[in-house]
Amino acid sequence: MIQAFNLSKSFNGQPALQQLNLSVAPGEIYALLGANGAGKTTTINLFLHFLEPDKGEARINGKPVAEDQQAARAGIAYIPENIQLYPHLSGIENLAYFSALSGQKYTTAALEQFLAQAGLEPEAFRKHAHHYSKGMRQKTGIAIALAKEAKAMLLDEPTSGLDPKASNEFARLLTQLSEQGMAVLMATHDLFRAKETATRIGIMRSGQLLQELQPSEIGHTDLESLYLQQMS
Amino acid sequence: MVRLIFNNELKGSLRDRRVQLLAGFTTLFLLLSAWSGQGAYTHLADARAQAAAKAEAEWDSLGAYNPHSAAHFGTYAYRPLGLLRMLDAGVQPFTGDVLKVEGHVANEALYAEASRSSSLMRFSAFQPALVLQAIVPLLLIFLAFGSIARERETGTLKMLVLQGASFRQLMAGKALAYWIISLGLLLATVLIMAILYGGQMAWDTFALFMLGYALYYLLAALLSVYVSAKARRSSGALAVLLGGWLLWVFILPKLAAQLGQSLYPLPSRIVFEEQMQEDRKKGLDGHNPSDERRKALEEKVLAEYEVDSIEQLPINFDGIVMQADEEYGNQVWDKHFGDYYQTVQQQNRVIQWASALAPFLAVRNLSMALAGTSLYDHLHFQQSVEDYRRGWVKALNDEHAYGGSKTGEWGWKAEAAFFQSMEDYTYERPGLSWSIANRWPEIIVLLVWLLVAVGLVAFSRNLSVLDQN
Repeated sequence: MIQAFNLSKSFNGQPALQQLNLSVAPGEIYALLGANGAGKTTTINLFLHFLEPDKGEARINGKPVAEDQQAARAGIAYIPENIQLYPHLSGIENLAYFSALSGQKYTTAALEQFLAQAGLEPEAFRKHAHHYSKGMRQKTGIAIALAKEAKAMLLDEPTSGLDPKASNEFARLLTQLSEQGMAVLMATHDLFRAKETATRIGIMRSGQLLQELQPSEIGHTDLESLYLQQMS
Repeated sequence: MVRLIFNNELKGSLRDRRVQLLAGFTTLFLLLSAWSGQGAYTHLADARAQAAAKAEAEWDSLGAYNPHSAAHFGTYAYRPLGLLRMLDAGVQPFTGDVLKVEGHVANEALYAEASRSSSLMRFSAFQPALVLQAIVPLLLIFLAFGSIARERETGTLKMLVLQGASFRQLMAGKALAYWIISLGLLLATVLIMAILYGGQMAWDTFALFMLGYALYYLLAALLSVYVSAKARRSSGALAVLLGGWLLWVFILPKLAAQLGQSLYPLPSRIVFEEQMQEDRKKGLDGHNPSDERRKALEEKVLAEYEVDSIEQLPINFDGIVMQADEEYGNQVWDKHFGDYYQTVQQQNRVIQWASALAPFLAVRNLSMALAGTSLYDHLHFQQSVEDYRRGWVKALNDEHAYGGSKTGEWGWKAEAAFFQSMEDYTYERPGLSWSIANRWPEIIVLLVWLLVAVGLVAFSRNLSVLDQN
């Protein structure tokens, strides 16, 4: 469960997020749509407690993030726009390292399974990450998120720069995870992917959540029109 | 957690070509400087052994000789070269460690130009100490400047923190990894020394010598990682660290030396010589019978021997006069050397205070002290030679006075066996506790800095995961 109650944040007096109220239940994929500077990344950073809110509260799995950062973070998997791995380590070594940091100890077979589940080709498992494309890094990042076995996932422009095939595979994986009971909050510009993947869509502008939509109740063209109307 | 981070950082650093290159260059510098130091040491030791043997042989082959002429002929006192001199020559190249021993004149090295300066002239030489004190910390800076800042820039810091790593753990793990790399260089030094001189090494001193550097590197690693964690950008961290390195290694030591010289100036060589000569003139002149104090001494000796004239004395009065003159000269030397020593100590105290701002100074002084190449060691050697010289001159003057000649017999000769029976000079280097005794301020400075660095890492607050805001 991902929840925000009147969450607000400003930088140098300029509001970046205003009175955000949001709830993403287990099994839901919530897509936050908005232009650059709309407040999407600020929202994600507040949930991760990389930023301190001015007002309001963020909760992950019912735990207030500000009160117990470690416990809240332990329940979150996070995939940024650009996953950066340690270039001197292979994909499987990166996965083993990040998993070990979160207290997970997996066998090599289990690690390989996470990488395969994330869609990384087996021949890439033991290549150093400096040989990886962005798509391969994103897939390794997904494997890291999967291995964490978190109940909530935060994604910040996860399909940005991915080719359509990789983007599609990624969307399928997200759907699978939500079906397994994960609560997913995804900040994105990708209207098409949001419409296809999300169970709910929120449109943001200037730090405000302007409108919430059910993707099943709106077509691609209407979504685009509505989005452009809100942005104008 | 710290161990995981440590392992990953170590693995990453060792696999990183840039790090391999930097560490390779540093090792190369170290090996080259050790090779150069060892060459210089061997050359000096050989030359020293030959010269010492020659001086001893010359003295022993004087044959029958007038004792006073022998005092003017003189001999030489050689300070043995410590093995650690190879790693840190300290002030020795400038102060010298061979002193002429002769009558009337206290050892000449006191007048050596460099011996009256505690400045950092030694940077002109390429020696392992320069690599150990300045280059290895620079390597640590290059290893660590991006340790946290670059993770922040690339975004991996977010993932690390989200996976449960705290800043404290990250800083500790990374600093320890860089420290271990620097210890590898120290280990290389230990191996070189063990292979070359394992049997002759004073291992307790060497262990302390290495421990001082190990603590210094831990300090450099912790501070570098901390600066990287505080800086928004790795380029900013590098600028701050390089600035700090310049300040520590070059600017503050020079300023401290200049401040010490300004506050407690040592006389120039010429002035010092003039002052000594002036005071010396007030003493007895062994060659001038018209001196009034000589007359007073004459009366005293005549009364002692219950005779009326010098000619009636059963001894050579000239020897007694010369010894009295020596003793006066000794007082002059004690006064001037005492003043000199006190000023050097005052200058050194300024540098010790300055080391509170620049731990480089603390480790440099500690290193020289343990290598036996500090100014204190040089002064100790001078004092030891002077003590020997006084006994040596007294023996010659006594032989002149009581060896069988009469007053005025300047051509009288003592037997060869007398000169051969005189003990050669041997220098007993003061022990480890003496070396450390003068250096407590530096040890405390190093430990306090280390505690501060550990405190900064352990209790740092308000460190941002994000590279903006």
